[in-house]
Amino acid sequence: MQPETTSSAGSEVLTHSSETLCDRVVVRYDDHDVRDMTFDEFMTIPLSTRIRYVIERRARFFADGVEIGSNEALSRLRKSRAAS
Amino acid sequence: MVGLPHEAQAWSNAAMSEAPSLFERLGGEAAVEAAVVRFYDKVMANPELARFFDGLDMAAQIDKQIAFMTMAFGGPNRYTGKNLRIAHAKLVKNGLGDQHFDAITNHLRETLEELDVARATIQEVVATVDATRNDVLGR
Repeated sequence: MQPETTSSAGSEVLTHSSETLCDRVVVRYDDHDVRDMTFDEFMTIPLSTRIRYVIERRARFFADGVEIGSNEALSRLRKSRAAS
Repeated sequence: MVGLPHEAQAWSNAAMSEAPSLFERLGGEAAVEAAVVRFYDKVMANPELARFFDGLDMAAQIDKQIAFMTMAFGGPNRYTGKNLRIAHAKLVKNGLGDQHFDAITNHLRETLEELDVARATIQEVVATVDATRNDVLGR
């Protein structure tokens, strides 16, 4: 189920969230080494480097064992971090 | 200027400091990350815009996109009018104009719509970006 977003007077409020956040990321490094890591480990990589891995299609995201697109993974993360 | 009673002023200050900023409302760094990736895909798929990125260093471009999104989302602002002019001077010389600025703004709006950002918030972000138009275009 998708989380619902409502808007009131310019503020954005997430009213529900049951989407599974990405829980595993497989990254191919510059030296072609491939590493399977948790999402929390992925988030310790500096922001600009993370973005480069995603843009260069070198990061693959999984939720409950199912691969999800990078845009979807990052969108779920954003929603979970948005202030209510 | 009419001052508020001390208690009312203190309450007002507390309320203001607790109100989430635009940056926080959007999701902070996670919003920047999600937006930069989507926005980059859109810009590079637009041949009118992609040509301005030809031959540029990818890592440096990502850093600039992060700074741009952070500024647009009301986070820490590394831009000033002066360095926006300097940063874009070569692009303006190569033909960067209002039509490109409009296209960038549209891609930004689409990006935020795809991220389910509230319409009022999108308008706020677009207004922030549009306020830089004259500096970016060197006017």
